[in-house]
Amino acid sequence: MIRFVCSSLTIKKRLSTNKSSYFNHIRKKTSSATEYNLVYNRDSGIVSKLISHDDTSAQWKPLFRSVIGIEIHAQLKVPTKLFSSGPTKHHSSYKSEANSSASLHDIAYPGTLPLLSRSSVRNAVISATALNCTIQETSRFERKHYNYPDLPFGYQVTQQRWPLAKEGRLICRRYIPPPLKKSKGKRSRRTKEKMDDSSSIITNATNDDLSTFFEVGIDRIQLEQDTGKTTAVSSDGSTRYLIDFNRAGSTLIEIVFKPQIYAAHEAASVVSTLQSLLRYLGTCDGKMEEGSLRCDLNVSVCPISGDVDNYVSGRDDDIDNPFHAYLPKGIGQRVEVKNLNSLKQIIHSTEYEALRQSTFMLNGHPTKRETRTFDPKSGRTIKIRDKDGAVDYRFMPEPDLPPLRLDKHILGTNTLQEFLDENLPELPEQAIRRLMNNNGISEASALIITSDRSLIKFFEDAVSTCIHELEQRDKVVDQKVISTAIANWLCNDLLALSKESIEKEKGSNREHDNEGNSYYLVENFNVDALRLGCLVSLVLDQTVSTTQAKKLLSVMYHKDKESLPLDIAERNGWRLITDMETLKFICQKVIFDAKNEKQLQQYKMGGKHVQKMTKYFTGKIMAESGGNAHPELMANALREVLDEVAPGVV
Amino acid sequence: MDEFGMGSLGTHSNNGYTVNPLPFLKDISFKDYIQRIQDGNVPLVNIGTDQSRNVLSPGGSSSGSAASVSMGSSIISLGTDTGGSIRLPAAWCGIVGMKPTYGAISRDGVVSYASSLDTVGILGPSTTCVGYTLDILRNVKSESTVEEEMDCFHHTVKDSTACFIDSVCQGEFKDEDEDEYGQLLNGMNVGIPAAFSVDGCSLPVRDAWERSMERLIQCGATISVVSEDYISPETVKLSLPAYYVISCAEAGSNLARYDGLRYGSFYAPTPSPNRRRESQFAYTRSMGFGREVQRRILAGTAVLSSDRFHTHYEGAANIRAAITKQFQHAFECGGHHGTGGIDVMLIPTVLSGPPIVAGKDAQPLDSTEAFQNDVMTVPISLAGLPSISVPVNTLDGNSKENGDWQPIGMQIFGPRKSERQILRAAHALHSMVMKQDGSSSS
Repeated sequence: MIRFVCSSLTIKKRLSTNKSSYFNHIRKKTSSATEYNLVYNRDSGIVSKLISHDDTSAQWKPLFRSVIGIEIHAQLKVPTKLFSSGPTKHHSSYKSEANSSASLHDIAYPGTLPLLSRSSVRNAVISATALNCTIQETSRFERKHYNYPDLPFGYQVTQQRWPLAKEGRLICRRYIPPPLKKSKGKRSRRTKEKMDDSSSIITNATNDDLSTFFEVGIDRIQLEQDTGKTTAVSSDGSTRYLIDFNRAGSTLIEIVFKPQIYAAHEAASVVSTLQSLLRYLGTCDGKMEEGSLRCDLNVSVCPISGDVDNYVSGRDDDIDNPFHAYLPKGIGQRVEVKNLNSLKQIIHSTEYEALRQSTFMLNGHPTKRETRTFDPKSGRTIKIRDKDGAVDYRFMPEPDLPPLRLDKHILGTNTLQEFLDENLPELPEQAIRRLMNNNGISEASALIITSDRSLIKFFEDAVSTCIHELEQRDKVVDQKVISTAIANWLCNDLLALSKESIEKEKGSNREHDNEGNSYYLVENFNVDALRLGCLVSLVLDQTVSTTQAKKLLSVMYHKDKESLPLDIAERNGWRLITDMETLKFICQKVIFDAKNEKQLQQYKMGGKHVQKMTKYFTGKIMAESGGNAHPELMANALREVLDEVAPGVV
Repeated sequence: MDEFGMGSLGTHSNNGYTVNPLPFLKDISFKDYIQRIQDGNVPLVNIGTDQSRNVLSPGGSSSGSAASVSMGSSIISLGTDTGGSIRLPAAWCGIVGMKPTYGAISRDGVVSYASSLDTVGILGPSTTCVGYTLDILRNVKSESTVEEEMDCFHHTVKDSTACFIDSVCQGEFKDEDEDEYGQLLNGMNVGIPAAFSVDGCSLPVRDAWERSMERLIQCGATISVVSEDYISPETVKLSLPAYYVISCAEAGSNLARYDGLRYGSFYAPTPSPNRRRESQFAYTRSMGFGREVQRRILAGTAVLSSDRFHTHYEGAANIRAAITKQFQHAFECGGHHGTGGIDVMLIPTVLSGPPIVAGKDAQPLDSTEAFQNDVMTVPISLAGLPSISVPVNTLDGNSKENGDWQPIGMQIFGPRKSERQILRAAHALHSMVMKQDGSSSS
């Protein structure tokens, strides 16, 4: 490890009011700024002031709304660094021990030169196309200079004036915060629709006054280098900083969204939609907790129109702001909050900033442009530097690299279009619509299946196996029925098993799971598409019952990871009895059993005893059949046998 | 050499100045001298211990490389040429120095000064030595398949700015029979760019320039004056400041990594409680870097700052683009009456002889004045063109005895990737110089 000594940051406690009370309400949709009785609505982005209240009702006056811009740094899922052959965490030879995976170029060893990684460019092009951007056939690299120990060159290679892609947009699914956790012991039983804790996005467009989707513009997407990682270690009042260069030089794409986001939950929607999209494309693993996806927010507040002139001094007068045209009249100076690592932090820091800036606007001292960071412990943002302390990045064309031309050498195809035709998959929203329309499965299931391309493939393989199996046995079942059955077995039963075993491994640390950690790694399944398809075919042609199939799946998942379901069923004697003669025989055997003599007599008495005794016999017969009797057919057989024994009772 | 390649005189070094060995080689005739080097029979040089003796600059920044070839301790040496760092010392040390097309030799492993200008080149006693060495070192495009692990461009050449040139010596460098000299450069059109005829050019250099033209004509070449319509004196004049803006900007950036944490000597300052990291960096860098390097880093930082970028850096980049275009245009159609093209151009490498850097007549050196030594070399560097400096004023003859003898180099340069052409012309010129001076002294 390389060490350097530095005095610890002094945190200026600038806030005059006690704001800790904001976060006594973090689970509520709103929280109040004590001084002015302000509340922030995370869905609408409106800051309101309490003007009167009594025991039953309160009256709020909307004063400001938040305007948010987002910059996202996504680490691309490629095996080597952007400009060197150094391994990333996606490479088999990567070692996580500090500084053991950095190549000479990654630590800026004099004499080493950058060599552009093709797969980085390809992944960036795929991501940018999925984000509806215009891909630039020629882009350029530039050096951005600043001095920090985890930046080995003293500059970052990025794309400032000629980015890889421009002018895109992202259709976002609205984010719904995960439900409050009830007391620990009483976890309600999962309903079929709500299997997935992390599906915290709206799944039904009609049940809310906000529409399911909204669109946010993207200004640009650029390729750039990641830095090393600094860790502070404090002892004896001084702080030492340890630097790990393993990450240095990894490929990032920076995605700059236009300030067309107006509420905390919208900001979370943008990030969660982007996260699932990149994961789906396979271009980024989306792990916010590991820093694979990092987020910077630009938050400002704007007086609700009609009220603009009351807050003149707060106006954003930065003419260099490229987004000037997008900003509403009278908006305050923007504040940048850097390095947010979860959806929760995004929501909380937006809310904190909206309330803080509103408070300062109200008391006549609007906040200035500054850079802040979010402290998850206190739930506050903390100032790092103001605009006067801004760094002059001294951008300069990168002389060690020629312009990036998307030619055959980089893409491996003759044209960009050809490359995209070969490499851009069906996008998630298209896949969702296809699964819902063609296969007739529910939106909730479609959302789960399309969270991962390998899961779609798994689903499709299982469906075709099932169809094939049924055809082999001359059974005709509607294709939509098959699809729905596969979707249910996959999303409800198989994923539940997978989730369970992961939780067992991980312990009960569920903090990140709500942030969308993917359970659906097909590699984690012990049951492949072929076996699931076979299993569902057995259910559909009534070879086994649903209950038996669940037992089968459990055996397939935990014990027998090889055999086909039919073999396991036969070995265990799990086979649905559907033959009427056999069922009747079992019924007769139970009814005429001497032990059941009394019950049979009671039945014969009729009246209220009929229902009770039928139930009794059903249980006995089911036990006699070893649980294999087909429930409805067995009920019919029983009725027939009882009618013969005691005609006229019913 | 000069620290990080920054300097024209070989004086900016932690270990003092480099000595030009030429005045100490007086007793050997030029022809014998070349012969002895090529035979591996090293001429011994005794510099002596006389402190008052005048020491001439060998030129910089590749001072040691040039001096070692000049005194015969090495048969060839390598250097980098950013704005003339091979050609200038070659001229002042009386040897051949070649800067090929930018990127022709990989920069992999070269500590960067100004990345867009740094060019690896060769210094040697003759064009033959230089040509053969270039053939070995030049980047060769590999047809091999992509190495999965690397996943990068140009797997065999670890330099993204590499350019690929053809082999330069295919039977080119045999000793010519005397009567063949007239055929050597048959059909070659040599341009003399009027814009490079500047006031600062000393009389001996001007004479040598004219004699060199005559010698090339004797070899069968045609001479055309390239008019100022093609290459403007204004652009040539502005090339020098443009060069310093660009090279300082890139140097400031490339040298940012020497902060004492990973690279560069670490100097611990007296602890100050505030902004300790910044003061540590600053102290390390002021202690570690020499004065000239610090001057250039500061200049580079200044020209890239947001209030100067457009006026300075972009201005320089525009001049660079202009001179590049003018050269290209001149080579394409700058010949007689604007009809024909130009194959190579001939200009002096440097306008005057080496200054005295130590001894009783040593002059105080002004850094900005020293920049003037590069005026003939930097326009070619900015355009990334191949250029070779040939010694045309040999050690022999009477002038050597009367003390005012000065080594003079002539530069032959051509369009991109024209290494073979410029070596052909340089070989002819050098052979003529050796033949004529050799015969006159015998």
